[in-house]
Amino acid sequence: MTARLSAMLRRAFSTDRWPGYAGQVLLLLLVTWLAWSGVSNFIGNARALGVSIGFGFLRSEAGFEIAQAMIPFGPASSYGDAIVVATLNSLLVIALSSVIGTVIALCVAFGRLSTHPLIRAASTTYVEIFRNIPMLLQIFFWYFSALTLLPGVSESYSLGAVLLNNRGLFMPQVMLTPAAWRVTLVALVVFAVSFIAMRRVFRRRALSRALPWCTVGLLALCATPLGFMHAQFGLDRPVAEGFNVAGGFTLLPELIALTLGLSIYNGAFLAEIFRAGIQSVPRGQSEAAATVGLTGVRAALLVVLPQALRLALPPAAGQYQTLAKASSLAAAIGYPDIMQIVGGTVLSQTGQALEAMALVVLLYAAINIAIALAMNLANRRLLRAEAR
Amino acid sequence: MTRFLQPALIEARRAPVATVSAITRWRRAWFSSPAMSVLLLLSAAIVIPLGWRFLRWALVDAHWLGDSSAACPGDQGACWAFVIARWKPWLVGNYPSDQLWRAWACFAAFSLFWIWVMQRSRTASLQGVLLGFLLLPTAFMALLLGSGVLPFVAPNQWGGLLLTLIATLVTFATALPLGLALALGRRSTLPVVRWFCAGFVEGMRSVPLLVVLFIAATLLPMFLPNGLGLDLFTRALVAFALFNAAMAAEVFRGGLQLVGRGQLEAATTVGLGRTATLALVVLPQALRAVVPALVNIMIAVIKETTLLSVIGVNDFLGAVENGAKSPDWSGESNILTSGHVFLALAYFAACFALSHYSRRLETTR
Repeated sequence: MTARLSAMLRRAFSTDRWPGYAGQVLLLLLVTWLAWSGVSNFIGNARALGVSIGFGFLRSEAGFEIAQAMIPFGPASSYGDAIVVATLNSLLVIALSSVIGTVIALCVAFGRLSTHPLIRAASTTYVEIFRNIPMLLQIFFWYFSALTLLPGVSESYSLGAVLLNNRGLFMPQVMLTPAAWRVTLVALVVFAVSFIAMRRVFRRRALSRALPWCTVGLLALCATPLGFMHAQFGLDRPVAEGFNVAGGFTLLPELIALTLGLSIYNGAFLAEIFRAGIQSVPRGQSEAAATVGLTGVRAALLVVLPQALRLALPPAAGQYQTLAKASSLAAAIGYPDIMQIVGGTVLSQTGQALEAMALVVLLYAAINIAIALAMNLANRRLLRAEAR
Repeated sequence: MTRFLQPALIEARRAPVATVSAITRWRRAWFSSPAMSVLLLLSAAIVIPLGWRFLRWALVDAHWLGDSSAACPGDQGACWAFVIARWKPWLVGNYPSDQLWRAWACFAAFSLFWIWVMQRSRTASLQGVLLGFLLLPTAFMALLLGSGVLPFVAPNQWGGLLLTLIATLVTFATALPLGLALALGRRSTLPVVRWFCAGFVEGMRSVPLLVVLFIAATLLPMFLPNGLGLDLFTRALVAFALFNAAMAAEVFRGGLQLVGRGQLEAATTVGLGRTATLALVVLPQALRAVVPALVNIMIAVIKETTLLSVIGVNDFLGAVENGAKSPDWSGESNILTSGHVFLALAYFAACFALSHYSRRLETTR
């Protein structure tokens, strides 16, 4: 015991380790000195500007409006509420662009491997064009060049109750009374639970062919109570009034331009990632799928894609993180996301630059970590399905 | 009993001649099924009129000459007059007219350097190229800033393509050495160095570049002592260098992991020390392996420089955007669209050529 201890000590204090120790101490000193001088400069500068330091401002009244808020928000709301609204807006655009980008990417990835020369050429052109033009320029193009071609409110394009004009995309919204909300929620939960249970039972009894019909029946059964209280449901249609549109649910032009830019640009990168994954699946797999009678889309989705994802999922996770980070370009066109509201409006109104930017950094880091965790989970499930 | 063995040698035969005519083969490929034929005709019906409209807009109905938005009436045709008349802002920004030769010298030197890089054999040593990528930005900065005999030109007078070029080159020259140092630091045996490098790289990678740029633009001056007034462009370059160093560090880490343990053992066997092993055995192999990935980083940097316009630096994108807001050219949305198409073509040409080059490097090695 003592021999081992003394050997350890002798190794730890041997002379050829001294340069290493000295280097580490120097690095620590350097970093500490940089941090300390930065902080002391900051405190001095902040005092000279008369800015207080701390997060107390989060509870005070914000006094501005946000064009798109998914929770109730008005001028009387606090800065903390504004940050929640901004985060929800960021998450909305990230989710929309990820889903649309993935759909584009899958189509283009299979398209690049198609036997039809036209589909192959079109997919390749798509990837080469949209991968090699800066995302910011694409967003500017959609926002300043393409969407300004849309007509004004009085000449909106309309499809049923949906209106499209240069103020955005207006969709009808289902309005529910609180009682209707509760019943709908219960009906949805009942449907989900009984559907999962039914599927499990049917699988075990080999009754899968009856599943679609039974699902329709179950859906009708769950919807019946809602039918009895139809008076409690209203449809809020968007109506053009002068220079603006009243009612309905609005997708801002900023959101449309940002979603287009993010999903088209990242879709091109995701397509290349998925293509590499698909090419890694041996040809025999799709031939085997054809042998058991699966054709076209079903073979692609049920046989090739799950195996392709084994290779494609880790790089795709990185691309989704890139997309989430790039959503901060919203600030360039004024979509009220984390960067625009927290790093812009809140920062300039309160003057709390350090706190606001720290919040921005933390929020983006949290989103990134959440994506990484979710993708790790998906990856593990994929590999576990493989092992079974 | 049946014999399954071929008793005699089979005579060599010619490859079968395709009996299907070229037209049939073409028809089978393009009109393989009724659904495909319908799809093909439908897309032709959409794409051809659209393409024709774009061509008319871009060439036939375009306005080529003029020095204000009056030259581009209506929105039927592109307004190339905007691009042509404002060549100076998007090429060099507000660089003083009597000093323009310095900007031309930079463009010419870079073009010559790039031609030299492209035409040299791909198996040749990389030292010259690396040295060029370190020396050129330094020389360009010195020449463009000027001091002594040359009058001083502040970076806020630079702009356009010149600024984008300088930003890209300087970022490349600063981020790569820093990234290499971080990658080596992550493999260090010293825990403090390892933690610091890993923390820096992972932290940088979880934050958007725009946030880093914004911090450099608004927050960094607060952390600096009062006398040290770095201008906006320099602060943006610092942000680019730090951010891309983290990106490059991941690339270098991959390259370093590629050099096997046997190489290190062999180096020890022939009596090389740790520094010599690194310089003579590990780095040459690692660097050669990551060259295509480094070209991809360069493409990313070119595209990233557009973010400079968001924090108010007059880069290539910003110069065109600002031009469409100037009193002479404001009003018609068509003018900005023409500017966007021009920018898209320029960025596409640069990035597509580079990505082609990177792919060629990958396949020929």
